[in-house]
Amino acid sequence: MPISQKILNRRVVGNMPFIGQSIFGTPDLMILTVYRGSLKERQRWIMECTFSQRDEDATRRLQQYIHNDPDLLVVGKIVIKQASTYCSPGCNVNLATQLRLAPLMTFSEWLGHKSDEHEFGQVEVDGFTWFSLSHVEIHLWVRSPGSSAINLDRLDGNSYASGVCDLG
Amino acid sequence: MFALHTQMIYPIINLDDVDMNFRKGLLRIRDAIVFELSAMGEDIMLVDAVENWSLPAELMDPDVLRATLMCAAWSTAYLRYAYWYNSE
Repeated sequence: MPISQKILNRRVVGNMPFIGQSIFGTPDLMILTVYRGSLKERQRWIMECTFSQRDEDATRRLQQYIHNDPDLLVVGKIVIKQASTYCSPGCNVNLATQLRLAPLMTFSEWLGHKSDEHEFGQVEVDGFTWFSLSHVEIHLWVRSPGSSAINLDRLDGNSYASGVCDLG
Repeated sequence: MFALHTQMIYPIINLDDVDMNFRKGLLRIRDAIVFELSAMGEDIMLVDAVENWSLPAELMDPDVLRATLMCAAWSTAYLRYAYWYNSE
């Protein structure tokens, strides 16, 4: 945007506190703006990302942010779904013992196990699946001009859109 | 978008709608700023420049998204491994 940071400071921040009237939280991502000479940083855009938590928990947090700051212009959530629930190799005694015999791999050594045979989003090392991604959903709500606040229940094409990155 | 390599199965990505909403969101922020700058009595040249600002052609690049997901999957998996190795 053709405007000096000195006049309008714009920041994209992760895990910074959201300041509302009745709640405080730490959204995963926010776009903040503040004008020269002002102390009031405005929260414009908030994103939540869920991975191990439940999808509804993210929606509930977004709802609270909107309730506390009806001026928010955009909110969204990214839902990362695993193909299966992770269980450490501890469940399999033979495998666990075998994996422990070798010294702890460095991250570089770990990445060295990646090969073209790997399916997208599936991380299998030493015969164990450490991570398996199913799909990623992106949901985005934009406040319509003249409307009071974002309504998360409205899923029409005017203000809401979703997209999916399907790995199945 | 769907692409099939000899061995690697690539994800199906459909982000056109959400990409459009991303644009809409950024333009809403731009319009809010234009309104606020005018209300603050800022230089009209500046207000016009912001008002005429348009978005870059491509916002969400499927290749970038795919690569980022891949990195995240491998680091998450490593953290699980290292945590398990050191803990149980």
